[in-house]
Amino acid sequence: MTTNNRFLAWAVLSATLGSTNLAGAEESIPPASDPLDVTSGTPAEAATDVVASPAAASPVAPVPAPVAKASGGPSESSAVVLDAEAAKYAADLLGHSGGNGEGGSGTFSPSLRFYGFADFTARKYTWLSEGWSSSINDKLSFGVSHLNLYAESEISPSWKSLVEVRFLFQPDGALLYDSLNQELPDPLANNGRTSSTTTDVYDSDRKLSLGAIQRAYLEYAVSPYLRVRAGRFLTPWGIWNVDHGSPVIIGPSKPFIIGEEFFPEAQTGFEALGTVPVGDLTLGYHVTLSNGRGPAEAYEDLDSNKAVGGRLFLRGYWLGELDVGVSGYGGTVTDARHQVVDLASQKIAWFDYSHYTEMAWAADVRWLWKGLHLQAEAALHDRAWDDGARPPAASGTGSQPNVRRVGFYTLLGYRLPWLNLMPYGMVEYYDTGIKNGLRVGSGKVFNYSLGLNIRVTASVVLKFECQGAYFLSSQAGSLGDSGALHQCVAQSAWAF
Amino acid sequence: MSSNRYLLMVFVAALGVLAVGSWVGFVSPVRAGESPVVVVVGASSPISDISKSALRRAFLAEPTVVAGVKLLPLNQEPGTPERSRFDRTVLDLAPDAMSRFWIDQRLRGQGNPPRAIPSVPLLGKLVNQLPGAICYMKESEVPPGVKVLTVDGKKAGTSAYALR
Repeated sequence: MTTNNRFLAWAVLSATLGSTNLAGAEESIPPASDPLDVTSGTPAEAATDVVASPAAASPVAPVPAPVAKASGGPSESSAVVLDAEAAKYAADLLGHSGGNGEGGSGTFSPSLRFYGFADFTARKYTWLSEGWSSSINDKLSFGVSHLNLYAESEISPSWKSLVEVRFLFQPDGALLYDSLNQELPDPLANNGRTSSTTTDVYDSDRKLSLGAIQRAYLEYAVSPYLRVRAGRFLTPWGIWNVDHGSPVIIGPSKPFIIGEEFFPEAQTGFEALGTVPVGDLTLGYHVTLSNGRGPAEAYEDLDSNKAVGGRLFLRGYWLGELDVGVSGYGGTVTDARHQVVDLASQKIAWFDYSHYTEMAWAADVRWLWKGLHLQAEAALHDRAWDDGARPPAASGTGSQPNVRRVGFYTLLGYRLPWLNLMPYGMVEYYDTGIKNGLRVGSGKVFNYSLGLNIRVTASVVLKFECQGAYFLSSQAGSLGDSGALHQCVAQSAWAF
Repeated sequence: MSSNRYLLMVFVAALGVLAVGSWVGFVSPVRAGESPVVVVVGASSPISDISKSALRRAFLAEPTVVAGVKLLPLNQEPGTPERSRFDRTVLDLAPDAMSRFWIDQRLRGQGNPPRAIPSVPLLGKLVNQLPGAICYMKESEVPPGVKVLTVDGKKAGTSAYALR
């Protein structure tokens, strides 16, 4: 144990030094073009307006009298340089390539920025009971769990595009049977481990590498208070799901209600969003319309019911920053695996393998005050199967029951003034709604996490966390009954 | 042993002072006699007063409309005293927290920071050239031909002024 822990510390230190060197020069934010929506007035027109209509009632500093042209002295030449620089900045900020000249006004110079985040994690199950140690891999393991690349573009003053791709090592090498010897339904696997090998018919049948498209949308600013996105977007629910980036979230592991996807992590369809000032408060909203969940939801809807969701939040600055929000989502999930021809009508139809209706609700709160960080989310998810398309139960007897899942987490941390250290703690509860929903003889779990988040620089974060999971109402003699499951995790995460 | 104990006590006391200082904002952002920071727009702008909450929204990259004008916030460079003072008093964020905030916002897909302009004379030019442009600067550096706004109805230099 001691050796392992020392090894863990050494590994993390090495990763830290490497990351710090990588990010050594990025303390300041890279320059970015602004979210502009200036739709009228060229720089020259604006300048004309300044002279034509000064606001008389306001404390305007006097405009200096025009200086007669003289042979270029130092002050005149510096004024010319300043004017030229201002014109350059103005053109850039306005999104135009030039002034009033032919082809200048109205010609937009699109911007494209690449950035992203990644993390490196070392994890080890520890303090295991005999039952657990013989059931799971308790070796110290290293892994790169996230490598997400963003491409963001201001296509025009009102149009924007954001693409986020997560590159994956999995599922290659993952067991066909998971560590608890439960069969995983993976039709691709045939040799005990999953192989994602597939061929690219456009490239001599060469093997395709893997990637998960997290976000890919086009955004149009209809007004300052309404933007519309079309494409794939993160489901706007709660706090964690949108924060999602390893450097942004406090701990290295998702809470159950996020990881178990009470709401889908991402959807494909449309999202309308905006914020509206209400006195000193900000009211924000999101409305989504999408394919909903399904086996191929990113590109195919297997039923005719679109999923609808939304989030409403209120942000105030009474004592620090306080955000309070509620989210909802409803849709149907259909797995129509077989295409058949209806002989009577000679039409192609889909055979519904399974079909259910789902509804999810959530509430969240986040309070940031000086170094204090309090964040909590609670969620409920109902799944109701159609009787005609109710698949067999995982236990092998009977069929899948309707299920209500509930859960919450609460995270409390404090960012100390030294070295950007944040000690934190998190407690969470998850009820699967099924007696053996966690497949360890229990359907409910209480989890605690204690950790330290160190923001070494604005872009580099180190995290150390130990967790303990207690399985509630476990069946006698089951794994869940054999004791708590502990895990320690160290992670370095960085934005680039 | 006793000297070690003495050193330990000094160390603990220093940590305590640091902690308390950071908690209550021990280091005042404005020194006595220092020129206050004022908010500035173009001379032709219809805006003459702005609320602190609207300033906060605008400089946190939330679309903000004041007096029918969509604001285009322009920052001073990170590290300048005026930028630090503005971020601390209006956005309630220290410089390092500000950097963290914008990196987090970018990864969330929720916006980029307002453009930082490298000099005050350039800011003075730009607020007159760009519709909706708004920035801040030391009162003593306000160039001719721009308009200084009141904040929540208060003038710079008064006791209730928000950017003190």
